[in-house]
Amino acid sequence: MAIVPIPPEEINIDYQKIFWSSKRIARMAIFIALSSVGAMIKVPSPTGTVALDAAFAFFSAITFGWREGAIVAALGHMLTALTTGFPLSFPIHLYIAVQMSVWVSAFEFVAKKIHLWVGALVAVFLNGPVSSLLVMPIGGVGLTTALIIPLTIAASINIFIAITAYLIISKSKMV
Amino acid sequence: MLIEYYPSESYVHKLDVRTKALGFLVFTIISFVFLSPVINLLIVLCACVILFTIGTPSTGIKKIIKPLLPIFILMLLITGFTYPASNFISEENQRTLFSLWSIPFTLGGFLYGITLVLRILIMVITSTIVTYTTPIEDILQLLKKIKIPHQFAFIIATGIRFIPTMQKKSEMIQEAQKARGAEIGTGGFIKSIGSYITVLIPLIVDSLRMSDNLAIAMLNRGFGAMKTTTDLNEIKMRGRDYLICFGEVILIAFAFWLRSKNIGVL
Amino acid sequence: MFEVLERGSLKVDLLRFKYKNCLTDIFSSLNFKIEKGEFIGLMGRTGAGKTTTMMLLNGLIPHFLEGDFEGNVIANTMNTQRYRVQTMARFIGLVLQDPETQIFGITVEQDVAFGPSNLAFEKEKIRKVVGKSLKAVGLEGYEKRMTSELSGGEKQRLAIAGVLAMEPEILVLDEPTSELDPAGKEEIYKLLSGLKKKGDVTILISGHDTEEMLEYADRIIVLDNGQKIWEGRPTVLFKNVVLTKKIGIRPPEVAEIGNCLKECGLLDQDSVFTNRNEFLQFTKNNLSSFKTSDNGSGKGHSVSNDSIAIETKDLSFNYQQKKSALNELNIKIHKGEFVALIGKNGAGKTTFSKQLNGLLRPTKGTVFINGNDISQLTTAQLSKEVGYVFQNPDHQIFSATVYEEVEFGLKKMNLSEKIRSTRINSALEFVGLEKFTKRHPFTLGKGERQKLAFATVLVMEPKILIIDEPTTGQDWDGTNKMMRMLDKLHMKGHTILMITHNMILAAEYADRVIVFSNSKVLLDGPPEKVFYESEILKSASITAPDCVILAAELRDTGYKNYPVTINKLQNDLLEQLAWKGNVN
Ligand SMILES: Nc1ncnc2c1ncn2[C@@H]1O[C@H](COP(=O)(O)OP(=O)(O)OP(=O)(O)O)[C@@H](O)[C@H]1O
Ligand SMILES: Nc1ncnc2c1ncn2[C@@H]1O[C@H](COP(=O)(O)OP(=O)(O)OP(=O)(O)O)[C@@H](O)[C@H]1O
Ligand SMILES: [Mg+2]
Ligand SMILES: [Mg+2]
Repeated sequence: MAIVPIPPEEINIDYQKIFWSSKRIARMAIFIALSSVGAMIKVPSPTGTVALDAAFAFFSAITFGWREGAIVAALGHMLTALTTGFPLSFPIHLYIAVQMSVWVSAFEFVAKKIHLWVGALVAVFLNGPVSSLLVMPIGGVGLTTALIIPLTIAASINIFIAITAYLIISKSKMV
Repeated sequence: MLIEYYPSESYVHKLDVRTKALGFLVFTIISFVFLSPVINLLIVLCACVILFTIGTPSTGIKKIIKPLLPIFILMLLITGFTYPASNFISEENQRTLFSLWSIPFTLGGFLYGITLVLRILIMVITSTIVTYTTPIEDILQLLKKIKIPHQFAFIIATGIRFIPTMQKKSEMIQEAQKARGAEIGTGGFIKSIGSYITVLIPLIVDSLRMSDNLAIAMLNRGFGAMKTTTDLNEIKMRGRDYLICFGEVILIAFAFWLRSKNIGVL
Repeated sequence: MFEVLERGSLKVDLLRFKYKNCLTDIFSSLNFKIEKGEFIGLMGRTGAGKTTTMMLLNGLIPHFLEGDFEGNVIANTMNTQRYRVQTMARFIGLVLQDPETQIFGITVEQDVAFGPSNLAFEKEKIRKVVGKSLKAVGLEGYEKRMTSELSGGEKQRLAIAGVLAMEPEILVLDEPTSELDPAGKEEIYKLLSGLKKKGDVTILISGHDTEEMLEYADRIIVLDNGQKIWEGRPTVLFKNVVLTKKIGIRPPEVAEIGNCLKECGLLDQDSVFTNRNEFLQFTKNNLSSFKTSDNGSGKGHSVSNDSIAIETKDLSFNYQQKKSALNELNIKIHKGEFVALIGKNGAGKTTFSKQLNGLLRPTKGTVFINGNDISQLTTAQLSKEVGYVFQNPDHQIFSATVYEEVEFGLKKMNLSEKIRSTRINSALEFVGLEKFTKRHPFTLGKGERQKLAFATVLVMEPKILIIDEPTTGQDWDGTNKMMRMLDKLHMKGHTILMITHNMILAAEYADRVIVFSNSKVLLDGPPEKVFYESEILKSASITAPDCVILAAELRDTGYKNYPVTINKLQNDLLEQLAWKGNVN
């Protein structure tokens, strides 16, 4: 029996082109969980241990675009804070989450428009010194001086790992 | 347990999440309104009383406060030295307590440092109260009620669900790499970063594969089939919630009135 | 011209389908029909297109996975191209391979409610369907449990419950049993056939489970290379041993004997046995008594004089305070032995094997490898002596080329460039990946990635090799290839410790079988001894291979041997029949 194709106007296929496609939602959920797991991985560094919580957000941004990266950064940070009972209090974590999503977007923007490693430098600068300056209204100069070096080192490690992973994974046809 | 929620039957547990969120907001705002530590100290005491009535184990609180202590001390010292004396209204507060290399440590600066510390303490304790007494479903409902796109709530809920899975994955990957001779997290600084790359890459690649399967499973379970979804336990405001919300509004109005009368400044 | 399709039926008329990033068509013409209330098994070797077929049925293809699609798929009277997958999900429930990615809830109850609440069922109705579905899969009382704390089998049932709660008319399951032990497998099939009997659910299930398909399926559809190559009753398929072997399916053990008798002209095609009763009937009719003498166990290859490779002394281990996962184990494994570790899910097999290379450290007791106490050695140091192949190859692959991936373990060993490359090449050659050295590992197929993971362990040239469930989810060909590789290493003198749920493999390849149960060793000995301890095995929920059961049943005819492979039993039987023939 011949196969009668259904008329094209009756085909109801949405090829997942919208931003909130199920594929993207699923990927974001998993990467947010990963950020939380990364926060529990402690890499030894000269200034104490560094958590790999931001690496996945930077990876998401460079691989899947700034919007996805920004959401992973913000929600990933909030989820990590939630699972540890908001150690720095809810508003401060919200504040950091918003910052992170801006830094991650800036990283993607510079990395794509100018150069990958320039983007990395900008991101380290934003996530290190600038982030610590931005806590001034809450904790005064004291907190800023206490944070500036550890934050910069943590940012460099996270961004370096994200970029390395991106370079290796993007060579395969996976993403 | 994954989320720091302690199931119990206390009064705070029974309140609606919106009441608690408003209360949290009110305490936080008040702590920013006043510069003098006295009022913030009052609020901290108040928050502590609530914290103890909900019956949380005190070890949990200690765990949160302890890592903050060094930061608190640093904040006190540096604010004491750096806050310009001209900012203080009262003469008393402009007084120098002592000087270090001719940098004056003012009484006002010290007091303001205490205020800052107390401010953070207030936010930390009230956050703790909310997270200890509110199940995650209620928090997600709250997000929905304040009209955040429903995808966010889903992403957060699914993210939480996948933390143990990814945790296990990460452990299995570390084991697999160790079994073929990798030394993870040992050696020098640079070497140990390299060793974590051997963990993160399989973790990411596996996650990408998983996320495809997860997306398919979402569709299989009808995700996005309808414009709305049914919530099994919807949050509800009761009489006591309205009463307490009213009290909270009065409290914040009172705080602003006090401040307008120049009470609680330095 | 148009046939009338019932609700609950499935009809696939496919001209062709090709994945977007693939060069060749997966399907060129695929046609089949499934009636309401049928229980259909979908079989075929790895890569045959079973999963792809299932994703066609509720419209995931072409809605979610893009590609060139020509044809019509009509499920429950709905053409999949006209409806979104989410809409189809209401009528056709698809349970995919990995239960982990199909669980959305933090608690069991929330998870089952996920589907119905997406479909905006009424609250009361959701409560009712959640209860009903949990009851159907035997998870009542689990409502408030955390999903992350469920065992593999429970997760699998939960995944089924989650789909059942949407009250589908058609249930499609992709290899739902690949991670389960034989008892768990049986339970899933029982559950499904119960569902089929109760309501009018149509069931389509894929898998490599010969015995279960034979027992439960009404009809089998066999795919190979994107073609439907066979369709019909399972008994007919499994009678045809030559065909099943050709299409990559393991035939039932009794059918192999039957086939052998057929080839000797003692049986015709229709009366090849597919179950044990038929076999026993045949022997009863044709043989009054066995006259063979007891010629002892076949292997008799004793290695107990060799020195000891692995020894544990009073080894105990517990993950949490209360429950012990290993309890006072004293095990000695000699150099060159091939040991199979068996036992049901959660018995402690993996926990035990991880003690041997230091991934876990004993709570009490000591482990000796080649006579040395390993408590001071790191896993990395031990990796030169003890190779450990994990089940999931994707947990180790991170390099940009296959060559670099294999090289990784050698980097720490201070070898000259030349020795290094010889070693890498010989490891790759051993597993059959020598052509892929420059390929990106992530672009390899699953079976090839598994071989790569194997090569990364072999390149360290460990004399002791531990392999955790090497054949799960693989088809018959893949299983045989893997086992031949292990056998080759065994012949070269390696000590091999294999964890498996496949009793046929344990019986055929191992010199020694150790049965774990409740964190203890229940039995330990050559397969010829262990598999005949039927009472003890039963207490550990282990079913011996068919030939063992048959041999036991033949005792009253005077059969005295202890075969553990079907070949052995078959030869004894042939010898007997021939002998009888001579007498007549
Ligand atoms: N998303 C995809 N993109 C491209 N090719 C794919 C995709 N999924 C599967 N394939 C290819 O389609 C073919 C059929 O795959 P499918 O997964 O349907 O096989 P299967 O019979 O389910 O095998 P298994 O027993 O391994 O599960 C394989 O060659 C596979 O490589
Ligand atoms: N990481 C862990 N934390 C806590 N308990 C665990 C952990 N891993 C295993 N267990 C428990 O230890 C026991 C033995 O588990 P193990 O994984 O060794 O079983 P197994 O025989 O390998 O089972 P399977 O056939 O399912 O692989 C089980 O009861 C299991 O629940
Ligand atoms: Mg498949
Ligand atoms: Mg195991």
